Amino acid sequence: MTEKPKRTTAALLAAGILAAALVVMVMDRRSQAIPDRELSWWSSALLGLGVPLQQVLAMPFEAAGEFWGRYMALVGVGERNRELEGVVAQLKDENLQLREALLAGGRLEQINRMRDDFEVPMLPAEIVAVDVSSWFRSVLLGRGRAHGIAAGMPVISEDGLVGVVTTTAPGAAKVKLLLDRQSAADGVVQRSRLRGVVRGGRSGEQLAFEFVARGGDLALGDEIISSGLGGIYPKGLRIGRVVALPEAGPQLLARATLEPAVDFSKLEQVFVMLRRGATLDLLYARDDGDQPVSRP
Amino acid sequence: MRQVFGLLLVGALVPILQGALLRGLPAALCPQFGVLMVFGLGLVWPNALGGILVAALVGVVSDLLSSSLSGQLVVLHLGAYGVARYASGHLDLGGALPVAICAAGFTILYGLALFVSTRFFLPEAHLGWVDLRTFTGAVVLNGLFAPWVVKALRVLLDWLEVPEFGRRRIFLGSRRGFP
Repeated sequence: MTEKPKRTTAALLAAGILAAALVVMVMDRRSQAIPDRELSWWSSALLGLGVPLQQVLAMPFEAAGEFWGRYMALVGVGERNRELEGVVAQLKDENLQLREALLAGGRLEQINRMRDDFEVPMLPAEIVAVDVSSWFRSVLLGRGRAHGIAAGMPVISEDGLVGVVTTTAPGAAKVKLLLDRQSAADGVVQRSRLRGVVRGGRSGEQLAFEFVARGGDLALGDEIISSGLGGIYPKGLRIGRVVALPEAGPQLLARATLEPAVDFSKLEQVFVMLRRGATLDLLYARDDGDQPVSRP
Repeated sequence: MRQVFGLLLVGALVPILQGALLRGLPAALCPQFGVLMVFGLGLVWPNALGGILVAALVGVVSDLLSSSLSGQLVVLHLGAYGVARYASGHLDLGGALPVAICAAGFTILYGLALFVSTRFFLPEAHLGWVDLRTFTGAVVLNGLFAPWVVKALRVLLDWLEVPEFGRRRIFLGSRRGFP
């Protein structure tokens, strides 16, 4: 092939791929409004190949991290252990007193019945890869549609809220973390019940607590939990702790900074709540047999 | 053809490797190898058709492993490849320092393009400006690693080159010391 036809072919190929990518982008944008986030067969196949490969490639890094965690970072563990034993004893005592108070009020039975209603089946899943783009914050789980995971299901860890499943393949699922700037969760200050919206912060490591009423009862160290509003995350999950208060200003609404309850940099295993919020269930349920999964 | 297939395979593996690397390393300490590969290809590989295919594949796999809009990173990687090719034709990028400086500038452009495209397609995400430290870290790291990536790509391309049969290498040299 001579130089000119080669250039023309290259230009046509680039234009074709660009046009196709733009069409896919617009379609993906539209599907976010009416979500149906199961991956296409070829994307699923690529992920199906990529996930085991990533697990193998991540092994040396995991082994190094485990070695460090088990043998090198144990300095001060004894002291920390004694400190935690003290905290546990204090919490046991507090728990006992609260139970006594509830029993006295005749409300313990009622709370037990409510807890049964809220029991949600959980699926443990391992994180196999982290978002390759520095701008977005998502992770890939080694379990997917074949294990009962569906888009819209909340993901948590033992420390608190992690994010939400956005797309699924048979053996993998993509989870948008709470740290992502596109994420939003309705939160409430546990102490004062002041409400706001939690979003990913600018640094990618902290969270922003936005749309908080200026002058509301908010203090450093306040715990923020999910409010259950918005229909994505259940109520009462830990989100983070206030580390910076809103700056003084004339606006009606303010923004505080939160330290996430979950250490996202050390996250290895998460739990997928196998039940979607009622709002998302309405959005995701389709006519072709995708049944609502909000109730077991 | 062997080079194209070889680089397509490497292009598919690079984002996967990066995703695995990021499990152990903080994002601020990990260069964007997919972007650097596309940048390097634009500089050292004269095959434009192959370069476009590899850049698109790196974009597709990155899209799969990211929460970006599907197709967004394909567009950006193709654009990045075009910019790198243009730079290779118009700038003297002979040494490691010019390559590093060019890669750093290239990372700034890539970051801006990612910001603008996300802001345009996902206005409800209310993207603010990214933290300056994170962005500066990416620029510096990509600049530092770019000469090595370019070197590695040169070695890979040489290794993947099909040997021409029936042709012997002739070493030309002068015994009299003339150049």
